[in-house]
Amino acid sequence: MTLLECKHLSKRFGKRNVLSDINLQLSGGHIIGLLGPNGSGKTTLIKLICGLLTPTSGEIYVNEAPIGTSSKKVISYLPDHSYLNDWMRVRDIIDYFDDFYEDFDSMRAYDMLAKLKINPSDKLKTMSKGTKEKVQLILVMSRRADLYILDEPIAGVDPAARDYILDTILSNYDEHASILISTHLISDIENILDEIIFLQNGVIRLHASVDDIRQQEQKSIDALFREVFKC
Amino acid sequence: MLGKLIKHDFKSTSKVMIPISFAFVAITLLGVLFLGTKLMQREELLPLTITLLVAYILTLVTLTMVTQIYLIVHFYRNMFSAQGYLTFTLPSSPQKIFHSKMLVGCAWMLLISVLSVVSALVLIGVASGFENISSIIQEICSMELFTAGDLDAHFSASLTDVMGYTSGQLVLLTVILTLVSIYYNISIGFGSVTIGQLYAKHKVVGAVLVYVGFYLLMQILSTITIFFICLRPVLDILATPEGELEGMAFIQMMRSIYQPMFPSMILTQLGAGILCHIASILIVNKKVNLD
Repeated sequence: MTLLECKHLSKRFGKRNVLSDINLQLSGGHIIGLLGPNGSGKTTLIKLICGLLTPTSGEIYVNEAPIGTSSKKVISYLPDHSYLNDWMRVRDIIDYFDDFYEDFDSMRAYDMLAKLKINPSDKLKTMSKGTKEKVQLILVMSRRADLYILDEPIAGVDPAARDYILDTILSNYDEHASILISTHLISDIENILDEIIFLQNGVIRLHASVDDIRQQEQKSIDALFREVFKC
Repeated sequence: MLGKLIKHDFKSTSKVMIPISFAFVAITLLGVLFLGTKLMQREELLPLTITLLVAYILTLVTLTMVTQIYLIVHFYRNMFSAQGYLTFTLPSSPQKIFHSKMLVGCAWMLLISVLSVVSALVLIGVASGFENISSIIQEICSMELFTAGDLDAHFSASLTDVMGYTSGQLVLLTVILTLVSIYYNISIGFGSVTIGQLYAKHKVVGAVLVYVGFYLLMQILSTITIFFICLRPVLDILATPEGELEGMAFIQMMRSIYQPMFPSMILTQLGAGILCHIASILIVNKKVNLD
């Protein structure tokens, strides 16, 4: 069964076309890199899939159902900025996720917090930016979702934190699930990707498996990216 | 799901709303303490008494306005700022999310209204030596608005005479108007924020402009309604030869002006509230575009 399908998806802001006629199909059990330079439409595509933007035209289906309550039940989304109430304690946020998401595993969340020595009684406003990002990632990866959508999860964090984040992602998703990771730090995530989508000026330039690209192009994804998006 | 949304909306708003509610209690207690000193009975302290009374009323009005502004800002932050990324990805329909916030907003406004009334009744009760509340209401309703000096020598008219309702009906209409006003104010406030999201840029400014637009529209609508309600009685008064305007006839005319006021205010606010509510639901369902 197709996990995610976009049909002739377009998004325009005013007179500017941000996404044009996107056709995309993703199935379960893959880690997909959504790659492209700044302003290529990665975040817009993610926001459309998560129901945070309304398409100008086209359709999106998750598990063959249009975007709505059923798609939100199976998508676990990490935005590229903090979206939690700063005055909340980590424990309150875990209760919040536990209340709303049937697939949320609070034990897993507390376990990951303990490993990072984050006190669940601490308020978010007392934490550093990096710690907040880790808390968000823990919340998102503590769900047993069908599709994890991670928007720039490793941007703006130090290399050690990057390793922790990638390790957390890899060790916490179920085999049947898929992960869509948006980033332009390709070399850091290249080794974990099964598929890549190159997005340029709101159009899909390339959608292929990483193995096929390496075989055909005889180069790394990072090198190919630099070649395709050369300024 | 609606129950969970309401629970968490109450939780996040109580952080500010509980202190505001306590402020009402504190002001009432201060008033009771002041009244207990019997300072009000000293004539030389009348200016102080009046100042404190004005300060009390202004504080109640300010707290009510702060409540309304806070609820609207909370709605905006929760729905359309960074927090909206979490709110709109919850496994719930956008209209349930909106209705949860409407219900919680109305519930807090209702609590504030109840606290205001209770505060005023407690102070009136203390000042009058705890008479029966219904008798106080009766007294207010039967208070003479026009007396011998105003009209002919043997005539007087109370609030109930002028309004054309019994004291019980007046209380009931006031309760209904309060409930409708709460719904109207929350619906217009949340609706303005939601409609403001249709602007491509400067969405907050857009929301303020929509709110001001609604306010002006409602003022114009009220003025037109009052004009049509008053037109006939005023024409009758003008047509009556000078000196022939008897007390009862005058009261009848006053009543024909004031009696439709309550129903027209209730219907106008209810209609505007429902329209804004429907517009908000359509937008959160079909036009969400978070920055």
